Amino acid sequence: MVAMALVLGAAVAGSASAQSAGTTYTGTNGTVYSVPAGYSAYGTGTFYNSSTGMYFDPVTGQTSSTVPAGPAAMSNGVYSVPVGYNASVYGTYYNPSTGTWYDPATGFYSTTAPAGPNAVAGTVTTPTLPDTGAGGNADMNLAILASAALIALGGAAVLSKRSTVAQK
Amino acid sequence: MKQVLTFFIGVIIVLAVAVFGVMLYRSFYVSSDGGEMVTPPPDLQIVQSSTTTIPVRFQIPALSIDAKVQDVGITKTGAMGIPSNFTDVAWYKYGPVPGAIGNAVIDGHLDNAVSLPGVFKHLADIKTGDDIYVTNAGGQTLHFQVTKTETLDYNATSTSEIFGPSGTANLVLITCEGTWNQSIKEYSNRLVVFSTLVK
Repeated sequence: MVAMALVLGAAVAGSASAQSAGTTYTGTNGTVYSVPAGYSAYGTGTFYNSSTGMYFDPVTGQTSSTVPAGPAAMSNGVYSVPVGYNASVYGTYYNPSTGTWYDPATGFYSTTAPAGPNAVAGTVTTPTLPDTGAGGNADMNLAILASAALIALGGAAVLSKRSTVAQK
Repeated sequence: MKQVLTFFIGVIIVLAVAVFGVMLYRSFYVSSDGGEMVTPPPDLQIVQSSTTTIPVRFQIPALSIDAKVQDVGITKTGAMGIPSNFTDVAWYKYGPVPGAIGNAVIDGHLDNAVSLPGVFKHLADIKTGDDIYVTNAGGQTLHFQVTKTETLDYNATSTSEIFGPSGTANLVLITCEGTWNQSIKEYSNRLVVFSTLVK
């Protein structure tokens, strides 16, 4: 949790020199995000469109008319989250009673559901499908189990018989 | 000579017991292919949920499934992790928690190494509209309903519909199906069940 929060914070901080309108934004972790045309770097990893008055967060994919307040205070490396907000996706928190999301790394409040990192294709890791079956080799596995049991029992029987004979 | 023979038989017995034990263990406990990554890839910037929203119990009444929930990440081969046994299910911890906006993903085994049924042995019998319940550590039970099922190739590369972003709170289930491919020691397909949170 602490590490993830720090990673998030570092990524959002990003490189100021990489922030430009209508192009891309590179987080400090190397992830490259696309920024829609019309938006200029505002700060704390967010972008502002002066013609619409909207702010854009490329890490969460959200837009908001609320001015980003900057990173929330940290306690032991973990961002503080306002009361009423529950963990949602892409580092955001959701308040069901107000219908707003909160991004502690940018101080960004939004009524727009997080659409996910606005990353350039191929930069965000998505897992492949899991391997959730093992029964295809059942016959062979059962044969090995049975053979091992027979050998163990047979060997024990032989040893027992030899022991009995020796005692006589 | 007799002592040597006795010793030899003893060694064989020990080896046979060891093989039996290992096979039995592998039949009921598994590990993800190559093991899981200790730390996630740097571009996975999803803040983990609070402890109260983490799923702990999973139920599908129509299939008589009532299972504990483990949490898994990504294996070294890039796949979603799997539960360490055949009776639990596993939640993908780098995605949203069930009930949050987005696709929460849970997988479970079809069967074990001696073909005993896994928790999702009968998942293919699930129907659109069936109920799924997930209880989190805070005691809240979330209700999902099945919207559709799909069968994908085991090595399908386009998994964004499963793991990608979504504007609604969804729950996606994955298990194996199809025929066993001996060369890769995997089933040929994956059954994917899509469901959405009932308000």
